[in-house]
Amino acid sequence: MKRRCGVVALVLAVATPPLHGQQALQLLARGVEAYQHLNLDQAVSLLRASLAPTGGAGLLAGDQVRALTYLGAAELFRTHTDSARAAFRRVVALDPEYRPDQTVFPPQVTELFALVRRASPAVAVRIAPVTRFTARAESLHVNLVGSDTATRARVRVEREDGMLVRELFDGVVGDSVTVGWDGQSTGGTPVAAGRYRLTVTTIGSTTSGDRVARVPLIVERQAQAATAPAAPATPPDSLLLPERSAGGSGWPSLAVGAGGALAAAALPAAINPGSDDGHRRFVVSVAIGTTGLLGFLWQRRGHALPDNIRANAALRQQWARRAGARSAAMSGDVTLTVRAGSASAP
Amino acid sequence: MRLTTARVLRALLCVASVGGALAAQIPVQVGFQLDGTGTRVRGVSTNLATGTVVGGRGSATLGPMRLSLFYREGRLHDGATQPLMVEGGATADVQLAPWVAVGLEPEARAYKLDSTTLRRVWLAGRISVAAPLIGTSVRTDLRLWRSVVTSAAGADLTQVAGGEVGIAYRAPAGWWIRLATTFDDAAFAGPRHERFYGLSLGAGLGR
Repeated sequence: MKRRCGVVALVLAVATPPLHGQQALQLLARGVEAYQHLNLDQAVSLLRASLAPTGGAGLLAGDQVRALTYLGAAELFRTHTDSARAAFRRVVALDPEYRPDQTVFPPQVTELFALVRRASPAVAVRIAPVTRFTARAESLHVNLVGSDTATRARVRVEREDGMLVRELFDGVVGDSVTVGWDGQSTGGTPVAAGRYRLTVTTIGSTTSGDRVARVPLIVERQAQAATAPAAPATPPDSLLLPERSAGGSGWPSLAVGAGGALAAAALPAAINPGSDDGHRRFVVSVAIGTTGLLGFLWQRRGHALPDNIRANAALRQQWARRAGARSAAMSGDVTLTVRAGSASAP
Repeated sequence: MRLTTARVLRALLCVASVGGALAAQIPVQVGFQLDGTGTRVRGVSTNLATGTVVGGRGSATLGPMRLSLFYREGRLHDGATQPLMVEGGATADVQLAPWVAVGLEPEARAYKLDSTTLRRVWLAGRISVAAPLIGTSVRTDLRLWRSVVTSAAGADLTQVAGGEVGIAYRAPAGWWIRLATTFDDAAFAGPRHERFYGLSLGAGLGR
């Protein structure tokens, strides 16, 4: 019977793949146990061993954080402070929100962790795996969580080659901040379909330097059919002023011209009868009379109204601009589907 | 002639500087005009004296009030003598309606002969009417004036009456040109008259 069980166990061990990081988890558990028994050298060895495997054999992020915290605490008590700081820096980078449990770790550990957290700011990026939204009208939401209230960050959407598409945020993250991207580039147009990346730069101190996390984004674009009729580019006639006067009565011009001509001709005689001397005044008389006649003809056939022409031109331009803007807005109604990958390690 | 030009320019500069300073202080509209007048004067000397006088006018308009200063000067010829005619004055008009204005006009005119200078000074009341001929850019106007106070050194000037009829084109840019005929008659005691005939062409800027 014993032999049969051994064979089954061997077959199972060979035929079934190991569970995700099972061995690493066991190492982590043994490392934690050694730490609790103050076997610090053994704890450090075990915890480092638990963190060594990568990929499928490695620890999940939460377990990595736990292992690194115990590792940092063990190193601290071994008076290897630099190693402890290094472990805590990795914790902050992995999970900026994480704080060591004060009921588990003594104040020396939590205080050193707090110092490291302040000196090595980090930002966690949270973004939905798939977001579908209307460009311009709606937004893709990116939640940033800072490791410290003074954490500063800059968030940009870039093309794969690093070319800036849109800067979304540059400032203090605080505990957390939600940044929106309406799907437009800096030029104000919805982006084309393709691969982009969300780059979150955590502004570090002069000693720690900046950390950059990149989230790959795949943008798919669907145009929406226009639901409203196109706006006319020209104003209706009812809004336009007449650009030419209707042929009207020119009699006032003719009368004024005749009166002016007569006044110029008769001026000396009217002032003082008998004082007529010379005929040069008839130049003015003829000029006024002729102009009055021209005015009569001009008004009879109607004439251009420059003020109205200018006003109509301005109105037409205004309508054309509005129609262009409306048309652009309608043509820009596109729905974007953004698929976000996992953030690269900062 | 050089003396004449210098005086005219000096007067215009004076008007322009005063007008500019005023315009900077209060919301006035200013205008300037230069003109030349073919002149015929009968009664100053034995013969008809003719010549060209040149001058200028500066105006300031504040609401319905319009103040102008003018000056003109020129040498006349009558075959025997060459009297120098100098004239200056001011006008103050109130625009009662877009087409009519009334006002006062103190004016002085002098004829400088070889041995003597004839000075005539009067204060006249005046009325101006204007009407458009073509649109609003071409207008004709008529002014009539009659003295209420007169003075003449060494002569008994009883009355001065005159009038002017003109036609003007005002461009949208603000400049304008004007052609006008002027006549006035200065009546002295007895049968003596001095009659001034003018045909003037002027150009200006502003109101």
